[in-house]
Amino acid sequence: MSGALPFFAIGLLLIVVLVVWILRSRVENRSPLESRQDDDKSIASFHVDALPQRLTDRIFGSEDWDFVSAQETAGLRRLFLQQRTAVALAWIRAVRANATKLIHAHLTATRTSSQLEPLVELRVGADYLLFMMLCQLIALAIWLRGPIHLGRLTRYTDALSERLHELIVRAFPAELSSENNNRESYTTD
Amino acid sequence: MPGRLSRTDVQAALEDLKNRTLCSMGTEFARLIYLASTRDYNTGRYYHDGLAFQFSEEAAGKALAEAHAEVFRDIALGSLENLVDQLQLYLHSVGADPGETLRAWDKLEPYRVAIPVDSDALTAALFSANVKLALAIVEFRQRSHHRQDPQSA
Repeated sequence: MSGALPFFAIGLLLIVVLVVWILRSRVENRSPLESRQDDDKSIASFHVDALPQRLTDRIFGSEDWDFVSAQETAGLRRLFLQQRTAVALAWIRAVRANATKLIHAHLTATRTSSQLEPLVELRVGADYLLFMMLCQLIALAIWLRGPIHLGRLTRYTDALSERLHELIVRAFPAELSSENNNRESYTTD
Repeated sequence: MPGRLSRTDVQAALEDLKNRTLCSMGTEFARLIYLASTRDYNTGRYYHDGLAFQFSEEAAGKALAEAHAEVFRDIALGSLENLVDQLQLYLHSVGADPGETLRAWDKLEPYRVAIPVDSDALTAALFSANVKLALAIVEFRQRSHHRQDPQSA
């Protein structure tokens, strides 16, 4: 099993190189105006709204559940789980949408970049995959036993999302990054 | 004058609003309802004659919007226990029969208009879910209180 690992890594690397090559050849076939418009669109949507930690802790923490449990009625407990499950699933959708937005912005940027680092791309891909798997796992756990006591898992998901964001910002081509900054300062004026 | 609004003006208006108006209200929930009521539901703009007279309409509007967002965040992200206590106090303070008010709140969901327009969808969803729960808990407490003491009904 361990002997197959290097071949698996090489295979994965070849896939990444192939994907990058296909994307770049597509970009080269586009007109400069078309390319410019697409870049602007991706940069404009690059701003990712991070959810406050306090919100995540409130949704998945046990403080409110302990309070409702102390009321000693099954109806209230049921209503609490029903309401919180809906909010927790909305949290999953929001963090997933943020990550997807980030990846799309990154892919758009890599298409025009001349300094691609396959290892970084591989890490971004692996982190994104792990993040999406974690989201699925949390969604499953919510369906099975409700959102309570999932605090540790959601904090890890938040940290992973943050790492993905940092990785992408670091790998972001400089020219697009500076253009992004210009745009942000323009819109906040 | 439009476009001449400074951060200092807004800050001063905000301080004035907190020290003169909001501090006299007993609970955060009462402050939230009050601040939401200063907003025109058609335009989303905030108005306060006294504050606008002292500062400017723009500074007053911005201060009200900031105070609204701050109070809303505190309530929405605060504990459910705190919300239940605040809601109970608020419902008793409005003057009408608490049972009737509870039923109206349960059916009409007037608390939804207390959500600031710029708040994110998830915080707004948590707020609505928590108010719904808090109403159910207050109602449950009221029913058990009536069962224990039927003369108070």
